[in-house]
Amino acid sequence: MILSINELSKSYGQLKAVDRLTLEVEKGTVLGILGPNGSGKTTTLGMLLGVIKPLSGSFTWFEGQYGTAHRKYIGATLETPNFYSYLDADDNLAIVSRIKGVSHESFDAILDQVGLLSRRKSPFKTYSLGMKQRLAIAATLIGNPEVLVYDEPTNGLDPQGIAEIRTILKSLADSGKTVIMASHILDEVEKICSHVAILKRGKLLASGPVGFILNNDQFAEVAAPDMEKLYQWLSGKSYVSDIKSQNGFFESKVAPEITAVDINKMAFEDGIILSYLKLRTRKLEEEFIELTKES
Amino acid sequence: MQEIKNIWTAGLEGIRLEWLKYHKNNLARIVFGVFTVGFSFLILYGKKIIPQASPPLPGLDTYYTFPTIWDYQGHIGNWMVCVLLGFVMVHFFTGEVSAKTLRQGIINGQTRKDFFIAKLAVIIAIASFATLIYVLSTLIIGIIHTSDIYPELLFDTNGIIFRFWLMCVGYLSLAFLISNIFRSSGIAIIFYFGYVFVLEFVLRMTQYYFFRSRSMLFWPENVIEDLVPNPFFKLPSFWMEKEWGFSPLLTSGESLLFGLIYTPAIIYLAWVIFKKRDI
Repeated sequence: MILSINELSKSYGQLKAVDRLTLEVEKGTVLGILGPNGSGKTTTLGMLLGVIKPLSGSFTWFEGQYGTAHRKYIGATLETPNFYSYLDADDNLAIVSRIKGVSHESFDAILDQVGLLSRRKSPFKTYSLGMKQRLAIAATLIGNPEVLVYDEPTNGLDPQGIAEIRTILKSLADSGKTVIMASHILDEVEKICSHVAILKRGKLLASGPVGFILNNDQFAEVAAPDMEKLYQWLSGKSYVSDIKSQNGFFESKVAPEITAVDINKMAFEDGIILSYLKLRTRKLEEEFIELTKES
Repeated sequence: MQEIKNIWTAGLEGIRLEWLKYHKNNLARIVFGVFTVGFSFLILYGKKIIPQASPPLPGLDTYYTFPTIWDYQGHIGNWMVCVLLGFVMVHFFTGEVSAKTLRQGIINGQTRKDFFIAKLAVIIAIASFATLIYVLSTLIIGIIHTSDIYPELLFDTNGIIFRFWLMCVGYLSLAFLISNIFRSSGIAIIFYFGYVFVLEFVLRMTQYYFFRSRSMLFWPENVIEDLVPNPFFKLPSFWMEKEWGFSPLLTSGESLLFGLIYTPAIIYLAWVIFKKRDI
C-alpha cells in the first residue's frame, strides 16, 4: 500500500474542508481526485504533503517505512509552480535535489523530458505559465520518486499548454509510477487515471476504478430529417428511455444489449432514415454530475 | 549529545541550501554590498563633520583610536545591522512565504525543523559575517590612526566583540520572529521598524510615566541595542541620571545577561509559532 488515509479531517472555523476522509491507494494506481472548486482536494493534498495540519485523523505513506522522511520519496506540486524567480531551471532543480538528498550530475534528461532544455539558463520569472508548470513537473521527477502528486496541473494553461502537460502526465502514468492527481477537469481524469475518488464539500462520495465508477448505461444520439417522427418512433420503443432533445439530435438511454446496427436497422424498417447515429457509454462527467447532484 | 550533533548537521546542510537559494539574489547582494562598504568606511566620513563639532563632544582622536574606536564603530554597526540586515532577514523569510517556496520546500521533503534550523544558521552566519566586518574594519582603521599600539590596547574591548555578535543575532532573531508572525513582507517590515524605532520606545516611556524605575530599560529591543550602546549617550547620561535617578543605559553586564535570555526566548517563540501554523 502506497497511501492509507484514515478519517482525515480539517476545518477552517465552521467550514469543514475535509470531513473524515478514508481512502487507500495501491502501488501503480493512477488516482484522480475529482471535485468541484472548494470540495477539499487541495486541502487533502496539503495535509498529505505536510503543509496543512489535520484537525483529526491520520495517514501513512509507504506503510511508514521512510518515517518522517517520506516526502523525499514523493514528487509533488500543490496549486501553482513554486520556485525562486531569479534563479534558472538548473539552479532551482539543484535546490530540490539538495532537499531530497539526491546527488546530481546533470538535469539534462529531466529537462529534455519536459521540453525545457533550451531554456534551462533563463530565470524562472521569464517563463510562460506552461513552462513553469513543466518545470514543476521536472522537479517532481528528481530522484525518480515512487509517487507523483499533482494538483490541478493544467490550471490556467492555454489549449496547447494543456495538451503538452497532458501528454507528459500520460507518459508518466503509463510508466508504472503511482500518480495522484487532483483535478476538476473530468475529461483529463478520464483520459489519464485508472482510479477516481470523488469529493464534495470535503466528503468522499465515491471511489474506485474508473470503470467501476461509471455504470453500464448506454446512450444513443440520433437525428433524422423528420425529427418529430423520430421522437414518436423513439417514444414507442421499450428499450429506449429518458429521451432528451439536444442541439440537433435526440439523446436517450438504451438497453445495454442494443447495438448501433440494431437501431439503424429497426429505424429503417419503420421508415426512418437516420442522418446521425452514435452509441456511447456514460461519461465520467455525467456520472460526476449525477453523484454530486444526489449528495 | 546526539541531538546537538543532529542540529549541527542540519545547520550546516541548511547553510549550503540557503546559499543555493540566495547567492544570486540581487536584493541580498545589494544590501550586503552596501552594508560591507558602508559599515567599513562610514566612520571615516566623520572626519568631515567632527572637526566642526564643539565640546563637550570628544575630539577627533577619540573616534579613530584604540580603545574607543570599538565603541564608535560598534555604534555605526548597531544602526546598520538593525536597518539593513534586519530588513534582509525579513525579506529572506517573507519572500519564501509569498513565493510559496517555503511550502514547496516542505513538500519536497524538508521538515519544518530543518527549515527553521536553516534560517537560524543564516542568522548566525550573517551575525558572524557582520562581526567579522566589524572586527576587521575597526582593527584596520584603528591601527592606521593609533600612534602607540600594543596588544592590550588593541583588544581592550570589554567583551564588545561578543556583545556585537549577540546584538546582530538579537536583531535578526527579532526580525525573524516578526516575519513569522505577520508573514506578509510589507506588514512585517513596517512592524519591525515600527517596533524597533517607535513602539517599544513609546511603551517604555509610558512605563516610565507611571512607574519611574530602571525596569523600563529591560525591554527586549533596548537590551539588544544596549549590547553595543550609543557612546554619545555617555555624556547626557550624567545629567539624565540626575533627572531620572538612574542612568538611561544598561551596563554591559546587564545587557549581556538579558541579551542571552531574550535572544533564545525570541527564537523559541518564533519556533512555537512556526511549528503550529499551516504553511
